Amino acid sequence: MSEGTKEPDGGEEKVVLKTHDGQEFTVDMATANQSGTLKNLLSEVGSSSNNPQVIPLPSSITSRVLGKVVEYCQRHAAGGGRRGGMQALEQFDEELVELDKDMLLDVTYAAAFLDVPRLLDLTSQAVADAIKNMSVEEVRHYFGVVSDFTEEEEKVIRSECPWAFE
Amino acid sequence: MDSHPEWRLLPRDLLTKIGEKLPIPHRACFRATCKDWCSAVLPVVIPSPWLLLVGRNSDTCTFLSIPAKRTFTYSLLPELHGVQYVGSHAGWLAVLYRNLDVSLINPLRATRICLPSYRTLPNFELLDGSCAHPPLNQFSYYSVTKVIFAANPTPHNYTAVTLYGIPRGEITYAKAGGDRWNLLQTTSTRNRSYEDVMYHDGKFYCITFEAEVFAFDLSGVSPTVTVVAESPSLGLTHFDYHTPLSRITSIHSKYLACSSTGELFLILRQVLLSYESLGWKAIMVWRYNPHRQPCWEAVNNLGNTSLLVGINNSISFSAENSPGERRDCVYFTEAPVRTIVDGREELNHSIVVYDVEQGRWAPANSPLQPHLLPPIWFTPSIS
Repeated sequence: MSEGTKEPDGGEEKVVLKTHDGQEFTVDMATANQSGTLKNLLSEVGSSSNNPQVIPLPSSITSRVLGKVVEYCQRHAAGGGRRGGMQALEQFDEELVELDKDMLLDVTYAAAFLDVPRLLDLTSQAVADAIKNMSVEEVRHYFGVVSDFTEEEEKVIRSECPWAFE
Repeated sequence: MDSHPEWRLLPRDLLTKIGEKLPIPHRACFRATCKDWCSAVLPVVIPSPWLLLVGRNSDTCTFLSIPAKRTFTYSLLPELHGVQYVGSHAGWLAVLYRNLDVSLINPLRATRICLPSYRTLPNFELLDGSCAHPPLNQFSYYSVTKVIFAANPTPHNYTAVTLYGIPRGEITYAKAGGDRWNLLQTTSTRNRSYEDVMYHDGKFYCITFEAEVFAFDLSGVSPTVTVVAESPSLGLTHFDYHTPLSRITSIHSKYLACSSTGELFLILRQVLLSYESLGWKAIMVWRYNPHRQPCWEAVNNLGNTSLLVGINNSISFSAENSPGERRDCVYFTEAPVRTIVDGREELNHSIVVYDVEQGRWAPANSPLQPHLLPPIWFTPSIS
């Protein structure tokens, strides 16, 4: 079934996304189709308004995280033609990824799992922006990453671009 | 949450994605975080120095790494839209806005330090940005030759000197905590016209039209000055070739440069170059030697380094770390070169490379095209 198809009874096709923590999000097909993963899945099984397909999601996508992804998909399904055009859409995107680092990570995973390329772009950019002015030590601390380099190995990496570590 | 993802366990493709969103220089820090992160992002080997290629109305900032012979592009910081680049030193650019505001900007850290506006300059009637040929004693957007500043500037600790005014070069300075530009002169340096300024070892070295060199110390309440070199009243001799002072004054541009070992150099370049006349004694280089009189000693090598001069604090660049790169050369970026294109004469800012050892022009190793606006030397730093 393709995007925007109306069923004979006039109801729009719907799909239910169910998170591991038990919440259900009912969305229309245009919204679901923003996700490559859902689009593929639904093209095989189909869905309708009377008997919407329920899709369970992995535990890493909590209801709070899915809320963000759905918000993104709904807004982008509507496109730039509504509510102030492209400029408003860009502003929406910017504000959507103003998240704390754990939430940012969760949404990045969700965007990758659900295959929402532009949302993944946005979150990756937000992560990059967050760390871009940090030193190596700050980046490690921020993400809780422990260096597994030997002293010698780290020296080699740093020598690639010595001025970045001045 | 039973399986909360963790940053350290990010899969490779997501790490690659994030790494690629980082501006190129910052990828080095990303790679140095841990082994997984290192292998997810391509190595960053973009050796310094870079040349900032200045385009008009462009949304991007293009740099050319001279040793890597590779260009790369950033999206432009909003603060850099429509500016005139007037200086560069140790990772920072000096930029001038149409309204005569002036700032120092580190484009890699996206940090900015506002200097006093040129509207605070003394003794000058100010013109707006529209006057390309300002009358004498009037200051416009186009009057600034270059801005030289001490390394590692911060909003609370900076010192800058501006060379401005055509044809008379005046120097003026501003310091953190001050709200204006002050004429840089002492009782012993009145009525001088300046041609070049260089910052080295805590002092601002300034050379006049008559090839006098003063070192100004601006660390105290008021400037103090030391005479580094007096005007060579009998002219200067470059091996077997003598140039009288009258010619030094009139037909040569003068540059000061400093090697990494602290040697001071004087470079004379014919003001206007053309490829037909590119050759004999169009450029001459002397090393400072206080034990001689005059204190300039002609040289035909630069001790394996090259000197990069232009709208920047002069840079000494060692060829040792860059195999294949030229040594003992002087690179000019804003030398006007006269060429004949379709029977018409054109003036362009070409990169001109002069081989001091061979005493002749050297072809540039890098794809250096003539530019309408002179490119700027830049040594990246995110410190």
